[in-house]
Amino acid sequence: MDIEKAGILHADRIITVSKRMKAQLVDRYDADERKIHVVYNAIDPKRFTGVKMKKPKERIVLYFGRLTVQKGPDFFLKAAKKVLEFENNVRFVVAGTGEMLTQLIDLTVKLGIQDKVFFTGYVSDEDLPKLYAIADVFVLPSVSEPFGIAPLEAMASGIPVIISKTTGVGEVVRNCLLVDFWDTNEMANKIIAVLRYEALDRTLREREKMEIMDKGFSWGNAAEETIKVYRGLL
Amino acid sequence: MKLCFYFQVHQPTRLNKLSILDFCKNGDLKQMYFNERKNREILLRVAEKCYLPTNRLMIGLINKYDIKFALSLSGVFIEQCQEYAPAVLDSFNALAETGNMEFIDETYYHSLASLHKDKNEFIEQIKEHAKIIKRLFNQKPTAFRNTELIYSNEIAGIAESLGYKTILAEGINLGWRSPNYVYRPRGCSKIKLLLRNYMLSDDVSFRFSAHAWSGYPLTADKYASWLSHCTGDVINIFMDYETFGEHQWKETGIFEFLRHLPAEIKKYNLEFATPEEIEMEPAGEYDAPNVTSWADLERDASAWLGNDMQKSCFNEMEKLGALIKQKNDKKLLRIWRLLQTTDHIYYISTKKMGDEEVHKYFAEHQSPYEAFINYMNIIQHLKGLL
Repeated sequence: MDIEKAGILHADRIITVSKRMKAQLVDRYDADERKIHVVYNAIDPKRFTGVKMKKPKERIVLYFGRLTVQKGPDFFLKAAKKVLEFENNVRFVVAGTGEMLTQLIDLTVKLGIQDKVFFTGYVSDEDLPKLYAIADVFVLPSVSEPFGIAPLEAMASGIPVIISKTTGVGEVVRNCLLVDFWDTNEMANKIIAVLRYEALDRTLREREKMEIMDKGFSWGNAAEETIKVYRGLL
Repeated sequence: MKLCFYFQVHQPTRLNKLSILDFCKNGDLKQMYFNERKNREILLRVAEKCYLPTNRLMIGLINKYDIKFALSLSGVFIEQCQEYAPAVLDSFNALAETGNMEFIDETYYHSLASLHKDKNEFIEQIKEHAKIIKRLFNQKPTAFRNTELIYSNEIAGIAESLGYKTILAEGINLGWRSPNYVYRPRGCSKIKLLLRNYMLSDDVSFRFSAHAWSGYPLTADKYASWLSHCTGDVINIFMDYETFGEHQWKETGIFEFLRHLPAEIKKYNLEFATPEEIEMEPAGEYDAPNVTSWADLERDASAWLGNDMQKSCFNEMEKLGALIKQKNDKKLLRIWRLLQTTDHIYYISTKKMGDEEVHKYFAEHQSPYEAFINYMNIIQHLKGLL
């Protein structure tokens, strides 16, 4: 903390990946907001478009991210339990690795949903677009997320996205569903809604893709913004 | 030249949040679906900010300047007044008793029933509205305005068949012609059509406090002079009654504008008239094969049926109607009708830019998706009971 604070106080310019993070620096470290610039993260949308995969018989609800407390995968599993009380033909995929893996496997057993949850382990860059392509809905219930690239990738892939209100990317996209990370009832309600209501599913898919294209979340743009910050210092 | 002011008064019955996870719960449907606390809160707030002060002001203006105008109160608004604010109804009654305010009929539930394939529901809702206006205010309206001014040749034909002498619509698709004349709807032989002068109406209802607008600030003398420069037989200024004090807050000077307007109007050759008093013969025929309305920039039905989510709610609701009527269950029928209020589906609009600001102003949900999920959950819950 001390190192972070010293760094922030002495820096001439600070780049954050969201306004949310900027506000945290001002709030927690009393940082001068005039020297903080927001440069949003980006994706390469081409990687995620036009990927054709055979759809499994079951509907797929996907979590993709590190398995750490910060990302809230346990909330995902608790919501899964509630969804399964209403929808049977669903499988929950937990993709990624992290220190919570054993704990999460234990949780699925405790919740009695072990036959409905699939842990993929590490997902390669090559496999990731395929994973998105078979998913029906993507959920990221992060407790605290400075930005969150995965929701953008999922949007570019054209799958409905549910993220927590404490996810930075929520500042810049509108065509996704927001929940409180702790509100697993609402998370379940929204997951079921996407699975059941075709019009919602279709509208989200179309508008998400459109939004990603319109807003141009490219690394090129992010680099230009970063260069501007550097030039401002010269 | 006649000047016909008409104001719409409406408050929706607001929805509760209903999660799919609550589907197994039982309870009183009205309590489950509708948010009484919010209805009461909003009605009382708008009563203080708009209805009561505006009605007081209008009565004063009637006494002083003999102004005349028309009002329509949606049935769901009237019910809320009966439940939470009877004094508001009393003040509308006082307005009616002056003899200078004419009631107009509409759909009781402020619904999209006119767009259903089967028009019987539409007709039933109009009749229900006429009944409550007769019972509470002892007036039998001769003019009809459909929900949100939704209009077409077909709707005009229905209004004529129900005996209405006048129908109101948005003044668009006129080509070179002016809205400032009386028209005859295509296919009709008796009913007269009054078309809203949307430029002059929106100058007050939307632009009054818009600093970036070239007409800002809009003063009573300026507006009266604009009205006086119009040519034609009748200028129809239609807007929400909530313009006064609710959409345009007191601080914008809207009440001062209204207070001074009659005196300024009297300086010109302009005469206040209610729809019933517009006696001129139609200057021509008006053809509306497609639906028009006063909503959004498109002025069609796209404010409510603009995206797939809205269409699917509308279709589900329409289908539910047939099932409910088969069951002959009055309680369910009433709940279904309360759910038809356009506001619920309006919140699901995903339009961009200018209109989005208006939608956001009226929307009570975070996003159109949230609004859809909640409304559809309620529809599906109701469907599950059949």
